[in-house]
Formats: sequence, structure tokens, C-alpha cells
Amino acid sequence: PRRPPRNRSKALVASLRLHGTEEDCSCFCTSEVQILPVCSDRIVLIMGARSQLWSIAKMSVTGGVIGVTISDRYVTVVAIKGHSMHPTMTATDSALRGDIVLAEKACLDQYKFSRGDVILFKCPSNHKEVFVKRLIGLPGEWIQLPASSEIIKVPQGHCWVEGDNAARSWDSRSFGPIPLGLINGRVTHIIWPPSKIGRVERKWPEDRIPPF
Amino acid sequence: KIIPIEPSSPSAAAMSRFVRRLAGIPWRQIAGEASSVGLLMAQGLCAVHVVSEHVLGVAFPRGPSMLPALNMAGDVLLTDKVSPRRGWVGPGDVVLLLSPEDPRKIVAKRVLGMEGDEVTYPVDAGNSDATKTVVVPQGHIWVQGDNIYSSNDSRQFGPVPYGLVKGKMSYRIWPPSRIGSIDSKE
Repeated sequence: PRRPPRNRSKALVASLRLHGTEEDCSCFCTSEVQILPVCSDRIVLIMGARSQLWSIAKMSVTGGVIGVTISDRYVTVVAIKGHSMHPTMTATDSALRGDIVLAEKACLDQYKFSRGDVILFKCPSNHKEVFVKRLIGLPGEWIQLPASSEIIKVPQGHCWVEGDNAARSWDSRSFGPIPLGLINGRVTHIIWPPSKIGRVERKWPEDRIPPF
Repeated sequence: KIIPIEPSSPSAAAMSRFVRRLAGIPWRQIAGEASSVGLLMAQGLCAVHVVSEHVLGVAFPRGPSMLPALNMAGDVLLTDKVSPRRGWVGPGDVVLLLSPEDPRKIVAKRVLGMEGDEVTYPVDAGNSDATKTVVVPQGHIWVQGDNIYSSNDSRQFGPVPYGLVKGKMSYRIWPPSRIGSIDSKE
């Protein structure tokens, strides 16, 4: 099919002939890198140096925008620092060798969580830090504080979080229940190191009385 | 390629004409154009999301708690999403935050105190003149509606963590009679 050439500074129009037919086949490329498989027999690739840089810049901006959107709304990748969730997740001294997990954001639509979920949330006393802990108490539940025999009620719109590694975890036992609005996502899978690849299960700590 | 079959009846002839016409439609080209249009639309939606979530958004606040600065309904405000992330929020700013009582609700209130500030607030506005003074804990802010007689704010749910702040509002773009900045209470 015949198409008019676009007016760009580096536009080139090449005419090719299909084998076996009399039809003229026009391929055209603009200053972007474009491969148009209109003609099945011959494909013409034309690019200039400046346009190549421009197209790389455009592709990275597009990729970045799509990546940010996916990371905000659907799934994101987080590296674990800190030892509060040992042995479920561990960090080592170098961030590259710590555990890397997948966190989903679909739960932030309705803020519906289950007991035992592992969640990411902003620290209530420093909004720049993100913590990962297990959700122990949902809004409205009565839970028992592990050390004492006190029973407290988790207020509406808040939740009680604790780390699996109770000795090294700074969590709701210190800063109290946190508003659900601070939650950033729910951890679903560990994707690094290869020996720990798999789902992060919803788990209830053995020595806790389930809330009521 | 269609292997021509001898039509045995008028309806079979019509059928084979129809199939031949179907084969003549450039399906691959249409699919290519549709997918490129779809990709363009996806890129556009992603760009809109990134801008409205991280740079500049629009808010439609409703309710009486910020009278007289904000109308009860019909106002359209520009929301600055960059400032809260950088910590450029201070007393007197009107902010959007997730409600600590229900994270699915977004509320607009004015910041009265940052961490470490002492805030004196009327305990029971309208009924008594009693006030109370609190010190705002680290990482938290004290928010209050301008209309203290009809506002559910930090006087009820306490200081809120700064991480709940989602945007700062300074400019109104609708209704036309009130376009401009929301005056900051000193």
C-alpha cells in the first residue's frame, strides 16, 4: 500500500518491489528508529546519530514512566535491610546480598488485610524510612501484648505490627498501633537469593494467642 | 492463500466470495496499528498517573470543616505532591492526608504544629473555653480544620504521622470568583 512520506529532516523514502507482483511498496522511516515490515522481502533500517540518541532518551523516559506507574499501583521490588524479620527475611551487611522481595499494591485499594500478612509501611516517627513487619492485629481487634498480660484494643483505621525476630524488632510494642494509611504494600514473594525463592506465607507466631 | 473450490450452489459461491474478501483485509496491518494505538494510550495514562501522583494533582474538597477558606462543595484545588515528600510543609499549610480513622478517606486540614511544637487547642469548641496544650511527637503533625465547630481532626484523633500527608494545597482554580491562593492563617 502506498503511503505519503512524512516531512522530517531525516526522512527517507525507499521504493521496493515485491517479488512476483507489480505493486510498488513504500517503506519510510522517520528520525525515530522504525522498522516497518510492510514489505516482507526487504526491510530498510535508517537512522542518524542524533536521532539515535533522541530515540534512546524517549524510550528511557517512556520506560521510566511505565515503570513508576507499575511500581505505584501493582507490584514493586524492595531490598530488605535490618534483621527484624529473621528468619523469614534477612539482610546482610551489603544491600546487594540482602533479601529482595516482591510487594503488591493491589491491597491498598480497599485496605483489606489478613492477620499474618507481611506488610511494608512508613515508620510513624520518620516518614522517609520504610519498615517490613508482620500484621498481628487488625482494626477493632483485642490483642495481648507479648511481654505483659495486658490486653489492648487496636483502634479503628489502625493495625498492630510485629517483627518475626522479636528480639531485634522495633515495632508496635514500642511505637503502638500504626494507621493503615502508612502501609505501602504487602510482601508476597522472595525473589533473591535463589535458595529462598518462593511465596511469603501468611503465618501466625506460635506462642501468641490469636486475637478475638 | 485460499485454494479455490468449485462452488456447487449460489450460497456456496457467496460463501467463497466472502471468505476471499476476508482474506483480502490487511489483518496484520490493522493489528499493528491497533497495538500501537493501545501502547500510546497506555503511555498516556501512565504519564497522567505519574504527574498527578508525584508532581501536581487536582482535589475537590467537600465538607464544612475548612470554612471559610474552602467552600463546602464545588471548589477545585491544585495539589502539590512534591512538597510533602521533600518535607516542605509547615504550620499554616493546608494539606491533604489519609484519615487515620479510615485510610480510604482523604481529608483536607490545616497544619497547626510540626514535630516538637507545642499546640494549644480548644477542647470543646462552642460549649466551653477550655484549652489543652500538647507537644507534637517526633515524626507527627497536628492538623485542625479552620471551622473548629464542625471538624473531626487532631483534637479527636490526636497527632498524625507525617507519612499520611499526601499533598499540599495552596491554589484554588475554581470557582472563578475565588481563583488564587488560599490565604494562610498566621
